[in-house]
Parts: sequence; structure tokens; C-alpha cells
Amino acid sequence: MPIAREVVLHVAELSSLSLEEGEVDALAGELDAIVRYVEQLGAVETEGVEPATFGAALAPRGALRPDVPAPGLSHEDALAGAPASAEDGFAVPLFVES
Amino acid sequence: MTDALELGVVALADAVRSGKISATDVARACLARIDEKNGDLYAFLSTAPESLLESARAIDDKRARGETLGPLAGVPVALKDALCTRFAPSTAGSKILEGWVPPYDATVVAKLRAADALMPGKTNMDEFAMGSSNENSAYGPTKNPWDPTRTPGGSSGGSAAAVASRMTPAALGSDTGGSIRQPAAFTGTVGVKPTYGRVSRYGLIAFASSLDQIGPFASDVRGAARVLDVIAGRDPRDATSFESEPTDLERACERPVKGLRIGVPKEYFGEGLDPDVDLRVREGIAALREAGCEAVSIELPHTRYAVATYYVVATAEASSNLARFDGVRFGLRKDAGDLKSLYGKTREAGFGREVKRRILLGTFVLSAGYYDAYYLKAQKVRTLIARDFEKAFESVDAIACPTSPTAAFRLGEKSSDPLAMYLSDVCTLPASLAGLPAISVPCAAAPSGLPVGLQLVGRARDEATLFALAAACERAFPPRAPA
Repeated sequence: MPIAREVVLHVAELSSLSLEEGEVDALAGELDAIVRYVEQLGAVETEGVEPATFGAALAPRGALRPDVPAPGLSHEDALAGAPASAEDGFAVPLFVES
Repeated sequence: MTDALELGVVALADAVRSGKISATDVARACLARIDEKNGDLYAFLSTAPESLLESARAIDDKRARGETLGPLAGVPVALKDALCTRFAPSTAGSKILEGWVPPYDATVVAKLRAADALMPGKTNMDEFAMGSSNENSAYGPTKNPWDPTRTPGGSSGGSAAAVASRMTPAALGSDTGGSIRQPAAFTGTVGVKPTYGRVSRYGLIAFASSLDQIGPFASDVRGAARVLDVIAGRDPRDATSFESEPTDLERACERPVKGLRIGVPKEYFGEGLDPDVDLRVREGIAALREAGCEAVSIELPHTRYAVATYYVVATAEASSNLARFDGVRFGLRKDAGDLKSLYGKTREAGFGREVKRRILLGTFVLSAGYYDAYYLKAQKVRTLIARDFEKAFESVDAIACPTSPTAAFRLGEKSSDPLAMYLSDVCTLPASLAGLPAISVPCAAAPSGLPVGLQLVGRARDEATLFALAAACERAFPPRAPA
């Protein structure tokens, strides 16, 4: 399954990643080499093998803490690193037409 | 005064606790050493002298009041820049987080502070921990203190170089596929990837969540044990961290190793292994035999699929984790007419080439039509890799092998060929995929003088056996520092 430039453009769209025109062919070549290498996995017999979820050796999972309210990040702290804020919230360009 | 930094974690903490040296003097010595060395090595991306001296004064005051100091009293610990700190920017080596100061501390940072450690600053790393040489740092590469034309390894290369050059006696890194162990091997330091879940990941900027684990670097084995004893433990803020009795890995360093069975997997000693590394690692195993261990040959047949499996699983998780960097809540923002363009342009400008490559690959293997063939398949092979280890551990107590197939390579040697760089991780990836603890400890130097690391892999939760063996190895090959 060679990675053509159309595949790179499609995947970039899914990733919300703009690419410069000049980058696309180079990335296609690099990804193609990696995907061809990865295709050796197809030769491994995995009939009846369960997919790993976390590392197989792992401790009991889903150890949830009690659902007790506790102070979290303050509103001010949460907004402190925002590149743009307005009306006490994160500012984004208009995305719903009125 | 810089002599204090040569002491190692345990002796330095003892000296501060007993009042032989003040934390303030240690902090000043540390800043002086960073000043002297960092210009050439670029191990630290940022330092925080004010908060460092303030913490040091608080520790000295505490002692003056007669209070008992913590186990890392006055010990400077460098922090990989992927760890969130309120006292310094946390960029993960990326332009997209340039200047970002997190609103909270990682759990490990809080634990270090509670143990009276000093935190002088944040260390250089491959962007979002994606790399094996530190050349993917958006701020420029760290140099190897043993030979500045060579890489210190990656992605925690800055932490490794800080310890190797004795700017700090210890550091924290994170290891997703070898990012603590390989730089430890390249710099002649001790580096530990704990069992998955041993250390809380809260406040670690995520790369691949089912693999990421925070661990220590130190100039000696006992120092690494003490730091890990401090940072280990269940944290309600990380549901994957596990409950356990408090560890006493420092004591495990004294444990006898006589009678332990060491598995030597033939798959790690084949094609691609540098002959000098092969020789030194075999000498390391011979030293364990002399200490009374029995070495037996074992097989881990799925080892050769580890690189392919890892680069599917890790990139898939990264593509999801890195979706949060969108120019809205933190970091860089490139304003564009509409929201979609804002996301696209911000991410284009903020991410480096390797990060883009991995986001694209991860999105590809998860996308409709390819999920079963790539992602699901890789997760099944991951199970087989873990089963290889389970079977091996039925008959051995630990596994010994090289940490990396080569000693430190030259800057630029592999940076133009992503696949060649990925293949250099072949020795560290399997334990990561299986969630197992592993340690890299220096053995004898290669003829070039460059350090070589012996990797020891243990059963899940059995860091204690690894520390006992690493300490035995260290007795045969005492710690060295570059001239």
C-alpha cells in the first residue's frame, strides 16, 4: 500500500494540520518507507490473539478514586496560558453563522 | 564548592542533612556548574535560579529549626521539559509550547519538593519526546559530554547530559520506547524505566499514554534507587498508577545476587549489534556470573517485530494526544480567518517535521480502512511480545542485553533517515511494549572511550531485583565521568 500524496493530504485534513505544498511529496516518501516497513506485521500469525490494551503486565486497571468534590484548577489559572481570551473564556473565531 | 556535585545523590543528601554543607551552597554550586557547562552542552533549556535559591533557603531554615530533612535534602534534580512545573516554562521541546508556564505541578515535581530536593531547571529533549538523539528539539540539540560531536541520545538527552557532566547528580526523564535507557547508555549514567504504573504520569505532557513512564537518571545505582523510591506510588490523579507498599529500592541495592538466573536473549545479539558493544555487554554479564548469577540462553522470538509494532501503537496514541495543541487553550496561536484554518496553521507553524510525520502516520493507522490492518494488528503483536517475556520469566529472574546496538552516534549521522533512527531503538522497545521495568547501567567503556550500557529487564513490579543486579554490575564497573 504505497502512500501517495492524496493519502497524505487526506490524513493531514483529518489531523487538522496544514502542510506546505513543497512538504507533501517528501512526507509521502518518508511515510511510504515507514508503512512498507510496518507491513511485515502482516506476516505474524495472530489468529485468536487478543489485542493488548495497556502493557500486558499491568496492574489492576480502572482503579478509580472516590467521587468526592475537591477544588480544581481555578478559572483564572485555566485561562492564564490562553493565547486569546474574551468574556472570561477562551476566544476563538466565529464558527457558527448567526 | 562544585565538589558537592561529584558526591552522588546519597552522600550529598547525607551531607546536607548533617549540616556539613548547606542547601544554599549546593544550589549556588549547581548554578555555577550549569553556567560553566551549559553553553557548550545545551542540556538545560531553562533554569530557575530564584526559585532554586528560595527552595534552598527554605531547606536550610527547616534544618535550623531542628526539623528532619527529606531523603533528597539539597540534591539538585534536573527535570525533563515534558514535566509540568509552575516555576518554569514547560515546552516539551516544541515551539508550540514556547514560553508556556503550566498552572500546576506534575505529581513527581510535588514529590521531589516534599523530599526537599532542589530543582534548578528544565532539560532539553526531542520535541514531544519523539526522537532518539535530541536532534528533534525545536531549540537545538544537546551535545554528549563525552564527545560534543556526538548525540547524548534521546529523547531525555538533556537530563542524561546534565547528570553525565555532573551539573546535577540526578534528573528525571520520561521513557516511551527507550528515552531514559538509551541516553543513559550513551552518557555513562544509570537510567531507569519503571514498571508501567509505578510512577504517576499526572503532569507529564503525553506522547503515548500506554507506554509513557517517568523515571530517574543518576550518577550511580543507589542514587537512582533513592530518587525512584521518592517518586513512586499510586496517585488518584493517574488511574493507571498502581497501589503498592512503599518501595525500598535503595535497600534492594544491597541484596545478594548469588543464585539469580539471568536470561540472555539471542535475538538481541545478532545483526546490527556493534562488535565493541557486544563485547562490553558480554563482559557485563560475565561480571554478574562472577557475582554468583547463572546466565542462561533464552528466546524472545517476537523481538524483531517490536520496532514495527511500536511505531504503529505510539504514533496512533500520539496523534490523539497531540490533538490538544490547537492554538486555543495554551501555547502558540496563528490567527487565520476561521477556526479550522486557525487549527491547521497553528499546528503547521508549531510542530517540527518529526512530530508532523508521527501525527500523520498515527492518523493513518487509525483511519477508516486501515485500522484493522495496522493498529489492531500491532496491538495483537504487542500481546505476543508480552507473552514472550512472560514465558521467559517462568525460568529466569531477569534478562540482560544491550541497551542500544551502538555507542553514541554522531550528530547528523541518522537525522536524514527516520527509519534508520527508529531502528536504533530496537533493544529498548520490547520492554516498553510489555510494560516491564528496565534499567541501563554502565559497563566498561568501548575502545573509543565512549560509554556502553547493559540493559536489565525485570518482571512487572520487580524493580528490586533489577537494582540488586545493577548494583552488582556497578561494583565491577564503577561510575566514571567525562574529563
